[in-house]
Amino acid sequence: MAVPDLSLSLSPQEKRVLRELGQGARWLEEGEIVNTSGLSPEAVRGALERLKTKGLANSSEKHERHLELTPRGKEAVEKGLPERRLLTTIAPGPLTQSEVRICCGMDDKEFAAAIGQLRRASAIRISGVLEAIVSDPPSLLESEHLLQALAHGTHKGDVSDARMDELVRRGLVDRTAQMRRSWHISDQGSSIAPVLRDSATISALTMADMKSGAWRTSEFRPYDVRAPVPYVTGARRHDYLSWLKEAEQLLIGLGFEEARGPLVETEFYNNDALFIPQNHPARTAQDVFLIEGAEGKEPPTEVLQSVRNAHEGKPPAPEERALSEGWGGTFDPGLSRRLLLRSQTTSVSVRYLLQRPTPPFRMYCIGSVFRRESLDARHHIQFDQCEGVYGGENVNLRHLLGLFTTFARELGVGEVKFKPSYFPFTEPSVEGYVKHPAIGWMEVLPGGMFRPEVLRPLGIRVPVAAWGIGVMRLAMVALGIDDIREIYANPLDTLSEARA
Amino acid sequence: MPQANLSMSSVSRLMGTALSPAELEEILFRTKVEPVEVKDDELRVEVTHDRLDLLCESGIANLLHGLQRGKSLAPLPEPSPVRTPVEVRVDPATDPLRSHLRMVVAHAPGTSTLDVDLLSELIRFQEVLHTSLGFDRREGSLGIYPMKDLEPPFVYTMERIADIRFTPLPLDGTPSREVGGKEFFEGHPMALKYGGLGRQGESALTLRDHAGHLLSLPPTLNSARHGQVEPGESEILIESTGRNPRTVRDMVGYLLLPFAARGWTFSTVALHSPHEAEGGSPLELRRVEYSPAALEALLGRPVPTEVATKALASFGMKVHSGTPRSTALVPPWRPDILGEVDLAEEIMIHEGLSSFSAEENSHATRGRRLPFSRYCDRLTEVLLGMGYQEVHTPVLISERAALEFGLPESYLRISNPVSEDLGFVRTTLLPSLLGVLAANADFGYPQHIQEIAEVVVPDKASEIGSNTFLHLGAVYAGEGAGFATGMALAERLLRVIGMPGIKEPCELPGAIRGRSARIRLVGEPVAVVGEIHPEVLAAHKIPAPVCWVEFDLSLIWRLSGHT
Repeated sequence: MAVPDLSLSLSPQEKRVLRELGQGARWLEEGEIVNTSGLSPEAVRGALERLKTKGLANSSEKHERHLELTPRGKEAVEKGLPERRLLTTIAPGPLTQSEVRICCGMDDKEFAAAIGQLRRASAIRISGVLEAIVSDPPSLLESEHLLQALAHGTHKGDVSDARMDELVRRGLVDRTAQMRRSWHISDQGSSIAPVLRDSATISALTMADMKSGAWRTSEFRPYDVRAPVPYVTGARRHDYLSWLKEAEQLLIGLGFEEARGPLVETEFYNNDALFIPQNHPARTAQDVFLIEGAEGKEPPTEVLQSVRNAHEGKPPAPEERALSEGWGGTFDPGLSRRLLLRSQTTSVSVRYLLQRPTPPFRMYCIGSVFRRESLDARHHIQFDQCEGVYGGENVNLRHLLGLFTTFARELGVGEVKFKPSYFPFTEPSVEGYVKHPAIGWMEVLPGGMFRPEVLRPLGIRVPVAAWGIGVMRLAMVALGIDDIREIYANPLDTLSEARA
Repeated sequence: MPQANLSMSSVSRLMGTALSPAELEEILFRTKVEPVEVKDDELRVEVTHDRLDLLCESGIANLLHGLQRGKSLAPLPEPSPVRTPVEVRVDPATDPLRSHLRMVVAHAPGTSTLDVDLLSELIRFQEVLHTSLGFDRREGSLGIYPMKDLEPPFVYTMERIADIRFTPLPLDGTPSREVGGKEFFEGHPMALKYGGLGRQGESALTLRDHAGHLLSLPPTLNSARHGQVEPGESEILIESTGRNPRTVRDMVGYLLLPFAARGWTFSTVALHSPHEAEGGSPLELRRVEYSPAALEALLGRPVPTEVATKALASFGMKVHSGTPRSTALVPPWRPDILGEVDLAEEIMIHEGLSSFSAEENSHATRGRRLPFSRYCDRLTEVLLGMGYQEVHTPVLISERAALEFGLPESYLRISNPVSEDLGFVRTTLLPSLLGVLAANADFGYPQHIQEIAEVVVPDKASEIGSNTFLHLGAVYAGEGAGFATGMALAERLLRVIGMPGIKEPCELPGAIRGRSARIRLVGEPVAVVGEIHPEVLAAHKIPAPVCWVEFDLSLIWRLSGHT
């Protein structure tokens, strides 16, 4: 890196510390720089580290073991070691232990320690009384010398000296480890120190800088452009919901208007009005989610009666003939009130048709439906259906096939093949299959022509094509999703990180 | 959908020709049958709920024969010359249990008799019908008996169990001994499974002939003495009992198909019952009227009379052409043919769906999203612009998650959940959003997520016991995610909505006490803001503070003058 660039990258504190290092051209300790620079120890330490990172300063580290007097050690220096005080007391002549203790003013612990030391040094004789044999035992003199040296900062000896170890054990001296760091200007530092200028540098440009105009007289400190930066994520539409919007736009382009409906329905709108027999297997607790402890209300009487007649094979209205022999048996209005999570968005179609839209009409609804499925790659208990109806004079099965073909083509799910199917509310009924690259052919486009038993009780007199597309399965094909459960997984890394 | 295992060799024998698996798959794709698996002689099929006739070998053979050769294997049942009229009397005492009964006698053609092929098909098909249409015998059940030892008229009644002596039909070929009714109902495996359907208190349903022979204890089991059918029989009594007259009629109707496909004829058993007018007779051919013009309108292409006649005949129907309406006579094993539209579908299948060209829609209508949906979309965009990632979560939540944020009575509960984790319908998006945060705890912070989705709130006054509302939920997780952050977001949304909100303190379940607020518009509570309690976060293993904002968009939309 060129010298001028490096010079610009220095903060004022770094410049100051670098000058201090350059002046002496010798190894300096942090404390010396603190004293001469006038900066705080923290500021000096930070600046030195940064200078080292930038190759402008070198450091040398020395680990030292440091000795210092403890409070007890300081007391011993001042008053004398307990064994010295005991020797001094009995120097004039032998005394009993009680007399010595009183004269020395020692507690039992101190007295015992002093006796122990003097006995090991063979400096006293104990025979009923205490009698001094040696006035200055060498071990005592050594200890006193070490304590004095520590007290006056003149101790230069080996810190692992056995005598010193004993003083440490006796709690008179504390032994600590210390690292001493010295700093020296590097060759690169020496080359730029003389040309350092004191003009202000700006790290992060602030609003205050802008407001004050300080940036006009400052230099901008260059950054290490390779340094790590914070990880930024963005918000996007959920992939699947975004795909749904595309599907929706397609339907809108084909002339369909949106409708919505509740998630909780009565059996009437979910099943009865759709001419699904009241004993149909798909209406049992094995297939739908029933609501506990609650009941809905009956629909308008005339609608209920018409639907009931269609089920029982009676004319839906007095002036008409029966539409078919119906399902026989007796229609149970009590079952019509039972509440469940809607198992098909066709219930929305029923509510829409009950409003008697003016033909021609096209309606779509995209919403969740619920079935008691076993969870696996292709099945979920909650999935979305794209419901649609298309009614008008001359609407027929081929229009439905045309719509499915257009839908699949425009959504990019490829080839469609049709197979006859069965839904109690449509006849003829078909199922469109599309090919998933991993799973194979999947039935995703079910539909048909609404039966007269559905339309007449609702007051509709034109043919109506209807479908309830499993849009989640279609999305799996279009988006390359192998497992339907992924749609509800919401992994933020993939949701927010998709490529443009 | 209903499934059955069929014998391919039996199908081939009935058709008089064999099909390769590839040919079979290709033809069946044109129909409502899905070949699930073909392995050696076994063909496993799945059929749509309306075509239970295809769950037997005769049904498949009849369908394939019709499609390939244009002719049904099973002609419409013709009345058979009967030596002695057969009658059955239904005792009104059967009313509380299963009062509906239908009977038909099947007669072998010429000198032929019941063979092993037909007998095994009848036994398999009978069981398939028990499970599917009969709802495990609850709605309807079937029985077949050799006529030669029986003395009509028959009596279907209730008898004291203590008076019944019964030799159960052997289940595994081991001869059985006669037992008392009590012993049978208390110990026999079939009685333990189905006995409850045929007994009430100390009495049970019985079917006897004039001589007092006990044919069966419907719907549990036939008698070994008079209810065991063996190959070599030339007359078979077919019986069905149940709770639903239509089901009872149709079960007999379906079981006629294997006989009809082998040329057997049928005779009626005169019914004397309080319910004889209900449901109709299995042998009474139903007449379905149609107009060629209506078929044409439905299918979207011309359906000449000869095309319709040929198609319907190939599937076993007989057409009487007329103007302006024709009539199709429908065999008893096709109860799915209810009206004109069903005939249209028969023609569609016969012609093949691939021969129907798709047609572009011709009517001009104006497509549009609901204004409310567009409104919600704009709010999603606002939150996306603020860095809130859109997520998509299910509506059902666990009891634990639900009760963390509300009292049990504030939720709609599922009476038959698939698991404990999915037993409640959410009333707020918060549990779902916390679930997303928990699943992404290793992703790094901050995290901002949003969702506009449905919640369901109980409402006894509503027609459907509840109201489905669209809520907007947003959570922010990370350093600095406190109440003020949440309120700042809420205020931003209020500015977008363009309505001034009034804040008031409240205590929200799951939020830190003193750090949650409700926002009112025109006096109505439309939003909540809260700082989530660390206890809740710890329970979800979310290692970051979280604030939450939730708006009731349905209510806001209404308050802003829309419907």
